[in-house]
Amino acid sequence: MDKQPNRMVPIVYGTFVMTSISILPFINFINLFFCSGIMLGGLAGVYIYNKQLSGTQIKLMSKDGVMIGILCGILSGILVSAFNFIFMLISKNNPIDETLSFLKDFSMPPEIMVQMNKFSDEFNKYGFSPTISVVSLFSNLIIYPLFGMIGAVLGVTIINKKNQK
Amino acid sequence: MTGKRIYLIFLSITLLWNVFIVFAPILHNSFGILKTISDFSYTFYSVTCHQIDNRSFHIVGEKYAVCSRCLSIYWSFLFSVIIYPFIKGLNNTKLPSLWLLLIPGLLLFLDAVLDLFGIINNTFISRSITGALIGFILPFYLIPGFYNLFNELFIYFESYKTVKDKK
Repeated sequence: MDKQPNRMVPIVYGTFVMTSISILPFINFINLFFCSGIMLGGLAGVYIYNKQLSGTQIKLMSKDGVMIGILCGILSGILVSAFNFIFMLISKNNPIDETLSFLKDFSMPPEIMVQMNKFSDEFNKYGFSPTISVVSLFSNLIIYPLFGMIGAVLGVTIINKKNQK
Repeated sequence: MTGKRIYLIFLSITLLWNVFIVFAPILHNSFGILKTISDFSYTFYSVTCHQIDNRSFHIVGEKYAVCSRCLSIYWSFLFSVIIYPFIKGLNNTKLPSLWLLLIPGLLLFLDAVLDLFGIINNTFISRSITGALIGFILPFYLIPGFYNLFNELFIYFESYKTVKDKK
């Protein structure tokens, strides 16, 4: 009986794809389309895992794919939050002020502007915004594993369909 | 695990995801915990969407928690999940042709990229249609995938339980 391949390699690849797409400027626009970048990471992990399985008798299972997608999502969610946190700390400029100047062209509700100014004050006081850091880590830890899992499920169903042919 | 249960889990998650998109603007002018839910919903969906005001649909004077394109994706996704059992049944594991996924994906990509480079400006209608197309088609690939997943997990836990009982 064939031994189950190590899932660490596909998880590393998937995490790398997810994190790179999420942190690179311009490329991270992909995530604005139904979190496609995160789904691509899950898909990449499953693709690498399927490559590892070729030559063995082991069939690509949805549960393995989903596990890879979720783990890639958790790791990537933490890495992206950490990267954003470090970026906030080393940045000399207040990113909220920059965002506010960018948003001048768009009509933003006054409540949002009040919140933005609150975050801006936090930046000026601590050098980073604790509220943004905590909320973004929490959101990332839900959204990245969720869409990573969706990407992995899509990957497994597509690869299995191709393998059946 | 029965197809009905798996379908209901999938439908519940989709409904929950859509409910907060609508709750965000409706609860925006309320107070206390309701206001917190609204604020949190806006922040939560900001990870997946730009939420630009003039690119979003509005209700009760407030924008939804996501832009018009994302709203079309999620609502048509929900609609597709609701009608899925009537089209494919609850135990289906067969996928449609991959072209049915690639063509709406390509249309959505073109709509965004052509606008980004200023070649053809997209509109509320083009964003909504391209978003709705991809949202409608996705459950036809995801539900069979989740059906397989839950069944594999169920078999795995059953065999684990049997081994444990024998010991």
